[in-house]
Order: sequence, then C-alpha cells, then structure tokens
Amino acid sequence: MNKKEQLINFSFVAPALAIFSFFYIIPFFYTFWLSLHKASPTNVLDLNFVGAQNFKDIFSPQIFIVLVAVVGIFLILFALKNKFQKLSLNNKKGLAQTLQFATIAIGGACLIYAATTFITISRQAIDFNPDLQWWNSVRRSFYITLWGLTFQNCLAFILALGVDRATRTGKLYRVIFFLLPVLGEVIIGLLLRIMLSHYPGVFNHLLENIGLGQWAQNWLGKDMALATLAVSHCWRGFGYGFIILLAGLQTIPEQLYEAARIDGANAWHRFTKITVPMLVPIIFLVIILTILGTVQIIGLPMALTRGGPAGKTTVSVLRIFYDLNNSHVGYASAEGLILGLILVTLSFGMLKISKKMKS
Amino acid sequence: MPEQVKKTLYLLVIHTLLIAVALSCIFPFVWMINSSLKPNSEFIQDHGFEPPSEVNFENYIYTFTKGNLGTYFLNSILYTFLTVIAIVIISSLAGYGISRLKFKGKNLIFYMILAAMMIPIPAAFVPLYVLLKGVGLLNTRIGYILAMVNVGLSLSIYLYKTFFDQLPKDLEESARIDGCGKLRIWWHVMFPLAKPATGVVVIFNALNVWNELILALVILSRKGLMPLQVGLLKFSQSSVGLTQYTTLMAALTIAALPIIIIYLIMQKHIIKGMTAGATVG
Repeated sequence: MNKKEQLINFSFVAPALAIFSFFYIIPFFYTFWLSLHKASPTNVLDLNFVGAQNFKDIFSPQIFIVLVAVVGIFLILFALKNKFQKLSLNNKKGLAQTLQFATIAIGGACLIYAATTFITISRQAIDFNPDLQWWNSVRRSFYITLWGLTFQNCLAFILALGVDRATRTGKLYRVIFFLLPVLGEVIIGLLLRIMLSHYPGVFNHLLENIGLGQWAQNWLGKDMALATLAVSHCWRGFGYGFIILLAGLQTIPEQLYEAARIDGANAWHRFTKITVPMLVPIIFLVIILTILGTVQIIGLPMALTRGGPAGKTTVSVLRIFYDLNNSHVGYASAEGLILGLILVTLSFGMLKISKKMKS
Repeated sequence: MPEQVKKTLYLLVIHTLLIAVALSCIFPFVWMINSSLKPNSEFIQDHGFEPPSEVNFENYIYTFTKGNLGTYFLNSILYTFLTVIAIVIISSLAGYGISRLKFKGKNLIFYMILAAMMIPIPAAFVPLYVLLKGVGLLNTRIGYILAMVNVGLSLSIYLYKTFFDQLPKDLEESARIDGCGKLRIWWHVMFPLAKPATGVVVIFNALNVWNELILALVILSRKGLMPLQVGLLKFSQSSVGLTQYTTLMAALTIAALPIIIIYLIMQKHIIKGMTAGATVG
C-alpha cells in the first residue's frame, strides 16, 4: 500500500477527526490548563496563572494537601507494582521502564509538594474553609440521583413488569410513557412551574378538589423545592428505563417460566430466580444511564426554579454555569474537572461491578 | 374459581396503576392546550380545568408577533436540519473508513472516538466557551452547529462502523471491479445499504439537537440566534412570561405540539432509535 492510497483512505476520517480535535480533544486538555488560571473579570481571554489556587479554594487547602499526598502515594505504589509490563507496549522494555520512573517521579513530586505546603500552612494557621456553595450543589445533584435510582427506577421496573404481564405488547403504554423523555426538559419544566407555583396554585387546587387539601403547600418554596425537582425529574425520566427494561423482559423466553411453573415455583420464586438474574446486565445499564443523566441535569432546574429559591435547587452543572457567567472561568473549569472525574469514576465502578456480577 | 378471581384482581391492580401513571403523563398536555386558548383572567379563576368559554388565539398571535417565538422556532429547525445532515455525512464517511479501509493509526483513532463518549459535557463546556470566544465563533450559528455536530459524532460513527462491519463485502468487490472509486462506493453502495443505521442516527441526533440546552445557553446569547429551548427560557423569564400564564402556555404548546405529532406518527422508529442510541452510549 503506497503513501497516496493511505492518504486517500485517511481522508475519509479527516473531517470527523478535525471537528473532534477542535471540540473535544483540545478542550479536554485545555480544561486542565484553564483550571490553573484566573481570568480577569472584564475579559475572559485575559488569563493569569494562579497554580492550584482554584482547587485549594474548592477543597480547602487542608483537604487538598491530603488528596495530593494520596495521589502521590498511589502513583508510587502503582509504579512499584510494575503494572506497566501488563500494558501491551510491544515488549519495549525501555519504554515501560521510562514510564515507571516518570510515574515515581510525579508521585514523589506530589508528596514533596504536599509536605512543603503542609509546613507553610501549619505556620500560617489557615482556617478550614471548603467551598460549601459548590459542595452543596454536588450534594443536591446526588440527592436527586438517589431519588432517580430508587423511585424512578422502581417505578420504571414495576410498570415494565406490569405491562409485560398484563398486556400482550403494551404498545399504547410504551407510546404514552415515552412521550415525556422525548419532549424537552424546558417544556416540561415550565409547564410544571405554572402547575406547582404558589400562585395561581393549580396543583394545590387539584389536591383540594380530590379531598387532599391538607397536603397543599408551596411546592417550589424553600423547604420543598429540591424534593419537588427530584420527583419531577423522576416523573419526566422514568420512560427511558421503562422502555429498556420492557425490551429486556420481552427477551426472556416464556418456556423458562413454564418450566419453573411445572417444577412448582411460585410467582415470587419465578421473579427472583428467573426474571432478576436474566435482567442483571440491563438493570446495570439503566442504573448507569440514570446516574449519568441525573448528575448532569440542568434543563429542568433551569426551567422550574432557576436554582432558587435562595439557591436551594442549584445543582452542580448549574453552579458551573453560573460561575462561567460571572467570568470565573478557571474556577468553573476546576469544578467541571472534579465533576467529570466523579462521573467517570462512578460509571467505571458500575461497569466493574456489573462484570463481577456476570461472572 | 379462586385462582381465576386472584388473577383478575391482580390484573385489575396492575391496570389501575398503569392507567393512573398514563393519565399523569397525558393530562398536563391536555390542560396546557386547553388553557392556552383562554385569556389569563379566565385561567386564574378556573385553573384551566374548564373548557374555554370562547376559543381565542390571541395568546398564539402574541407569542409569534411580540414573543419572538417564530424566530426561535426557525432557528431550531435550521440547527437541527444542518447538524443532522453534517453528522450523517461525516460519520458515515468515517464509519466506512474505519470499517473497510486501511491506514496508519486507524485503531487509535477509533479508540479515541470511543473514549470521547465518556467525556461528560459539564467538563467540556467551559473550555469550549473560551476556545470559541478566542477564535471568534462565539455567538455564531456555525459555532453552535459545529459544537452540536461534535456532540453527536462519536456515537454516530460507532453505529455506522458496527453496521458496516456486518455487511458482506461482495457488493463492494463487484463495484470495485466495475471501476468505482472509494468515494463512489461509499455514496452509491454503502450509504444506501446503511439506511437502518442512518435512521437511528437521524432520529437520535435530531431529538438531541432539538432538546439541547446547555451548549446553546453558553454559545448563543444574541436573541436572533437562539434556538427554541433557550428562547422559551428567555420568554418565561420576561415580564409577560412570568405573569401571563396562558401566553406562556401558548408558547409551550407551539414548542411541544410539533414534537408530539411527529412522535405519534413515527413513534415506533423514535422509540427504537432513542433506545438504540442510549444503549450504546
């Protein structure tokens, strides 16, 4: 194969690669660079290098030191265990060794940095002061995710089971339940805003009419807003899990149930011994999709409450967006990095657990 | 027969639950369309639970003339259309290249594309904002379209690649013997064969672009450029959107109704396409 043919073949992926480089790869590395800077309040492009200051502000210096030290120890242990031999480096021993030394060097640098910063901090007696605004927004994201994992997925599972048992194809229900995920978050969020807001109080009026007047309250007020947001999110999003789980349920062959019935297994046994084990991969898929989808929500809080009242529903991505709007570009990058790292760790962890469950 | 009674009771419970949830999904939209046809004063009195005393389209006229909804709507159609076309062309080219052609670094590029699917948007939109501002693409249509093309690209390339991998090579061979170049084989043989994959790619990306919010919020701040989702948010935060509930609901109806109608017509393909896309991602 000559050079010209290679070039022609490569040109098929070239447009994709060009867009990719500019919109994914460069931004990916640029985030790390940006997170070490502070932009001037008037011009976002005017960046000043501040080192790890953004991370110290987010974690508080004390926790940051501990994290750096842990990363350093981890890197050194990783290098000493010589995992690099496992990587298929075409048996180039020199490369593996260089990588090992480099990793040890980086780990050592982390430890030295942690130690020196620890000494300077202990002399200055700096207060323990992590950025609670940010960590609270992360906590809210995970609060909603918890609702999504429990309430939303249980609802999806129960409805999928019901449709699978009670109707032949469940086509009508599938169409209805999937309507909400298809419509945008903004439309649903604004619709709910009108319904739930204290004035004109449509939902409260509805509750009174069906005799549940004592439940009426300010759904978007300070105490309830986050829970309302979480439940709204579940209501909007259960259709996805429902469709995926139903498709999974319908692939389980009917003969399995028949055989179990003949063997005298009751409904509960059939459920726990056939349905659930057969569905494990799909359940994990739904869990991963729920986590990824819920931690990153922004459209629904934006439309429903705009992060209010008093910041009670500002979720993590909304926090990043507001920081960006206030020209805190470096800070927003650091927050984005932390959130991205949490998400990637979570989804990899879930994948690992699901692989273990399979074997 | 007690067994029979038990089963009927069981079915009754299931159907009650299913119907209750289904009603909760449909009712808000009926309520929305009903309310959008009445003046605000009437809505505040009856909370939108009664049919309008007389049907009037004033709210709709207002949203189009003063609320800018028409512009937002056209913008959304433009963005969706151009983005999807670009994604289909670029990703089918790349999918064909990765599946069938040989060149250096092919596997590396494919793994990079797969890895990019793992990068979450929140970690990416801040640097993207600074980069786009740096090259002057902030607040331009082309900047937003390219960013959205990028978002849909990796999944679409993966779908095309796996589809092409399953196709037999005979057709291609015979086309090559007839003297077709690679580009012509892609256009005349492979691309027409890939219709099922194209269907999934088009549906998944079209809905994705139509419902996208955060990148549009970050990249487009000029009113004339905003797509529908951002426009709706802007409108809902204006003084009219905050106080005139029925006018806002007319705007929501305009945004929702086309999607609902398209969804009802193509529901089978949409459900298939969305689940295929989500499962891969």
